[in-house]
Amino acid sequence: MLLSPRKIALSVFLLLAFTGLSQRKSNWTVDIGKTQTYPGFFYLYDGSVDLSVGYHLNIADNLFVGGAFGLQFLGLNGTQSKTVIYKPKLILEYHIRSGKSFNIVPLIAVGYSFLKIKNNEYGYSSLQQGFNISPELKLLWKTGLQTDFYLFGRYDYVKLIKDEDFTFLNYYRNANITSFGIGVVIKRKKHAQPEKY
Amino acid sequence: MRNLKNISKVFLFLLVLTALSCNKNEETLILDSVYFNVSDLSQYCSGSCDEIYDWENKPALVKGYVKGVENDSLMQEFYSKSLFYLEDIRTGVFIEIRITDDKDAIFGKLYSIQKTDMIYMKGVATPVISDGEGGCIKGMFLLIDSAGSISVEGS
Repeated sequence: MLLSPRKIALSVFLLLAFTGLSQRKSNWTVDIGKTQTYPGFFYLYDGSVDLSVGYHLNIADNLFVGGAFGLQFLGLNGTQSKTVIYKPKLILEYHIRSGKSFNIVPLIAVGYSFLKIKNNEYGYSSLQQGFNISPELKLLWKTGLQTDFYLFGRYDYVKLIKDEDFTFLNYYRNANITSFGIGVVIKRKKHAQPEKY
Repeated sequence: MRNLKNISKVFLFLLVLTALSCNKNEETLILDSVYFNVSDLSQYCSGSCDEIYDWENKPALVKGYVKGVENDSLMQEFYSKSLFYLEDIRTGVFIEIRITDDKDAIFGKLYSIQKTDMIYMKGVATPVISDGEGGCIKGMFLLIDSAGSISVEGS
């Protein structure tokens, strides 16, 4: 099944626009992390940066749903081989209170990723795509102000769809990437008062 | 609390699903059916030292870029050692090509190519044992004996 990046981006935008109209408690998150690669196509790549922007909507006591769009930049050391991974995702997260100022937040995201692999030196360019599942754990520091902060650890597994021009092996269709970093939660102003969750 | 249990179950289910999909067995490849990229050939032709694999000493087709072809002194060194390396520029993986015959003609062909030319070759996948930190590993190199088994496609 082939999906176009434009359709995915439009769907995520519509979802965010729809949820943005809601009167429920909601927030935006922005985070940045350092990535690490594991056996598979990107094993020899140096992880570099993982950027993500998300929108989260409170649907039950401590339960949030939302959408996120992530960008991951990878480079093969000493070469011009570069990869950008575009990661639109749907998110489900649960806030567990851990003391007065902290929440532990397990999160699961599913999405469909697009990998733009390029090596300008050789004129090589390829667009690969596949389903993405991404468990994540955050430690959220609640400041009581409009912005909270968090540390996160994220695992991204991307299963690329079959393309024999790209590879014949499942081994190279699996992308295993972790990211660790920091983020900020920006709450909608009217919800910036002391929190229940 | 019930929510938390349900979330945990979904989370666990997705993790198990991920682990299962990571452990799928690889397909069997017929190495002289199509030109495989260097990464596929290198990964397929690797494994445990205790096993004999279907690819050992079998003909194999491979495509890739000659590593260091723009570097004359490196190519001289390769010539003296009767070998060169073929690389997959997407992953950085490379394999060793050992020359058993027709060395002058083979290197004559290599000297005429550009760094960005992809070359296609037919050789024999030959097992090689190496001891690393993780124990004994079986890998492969490709044996070639004729300039006729190499063809070049400019990019």
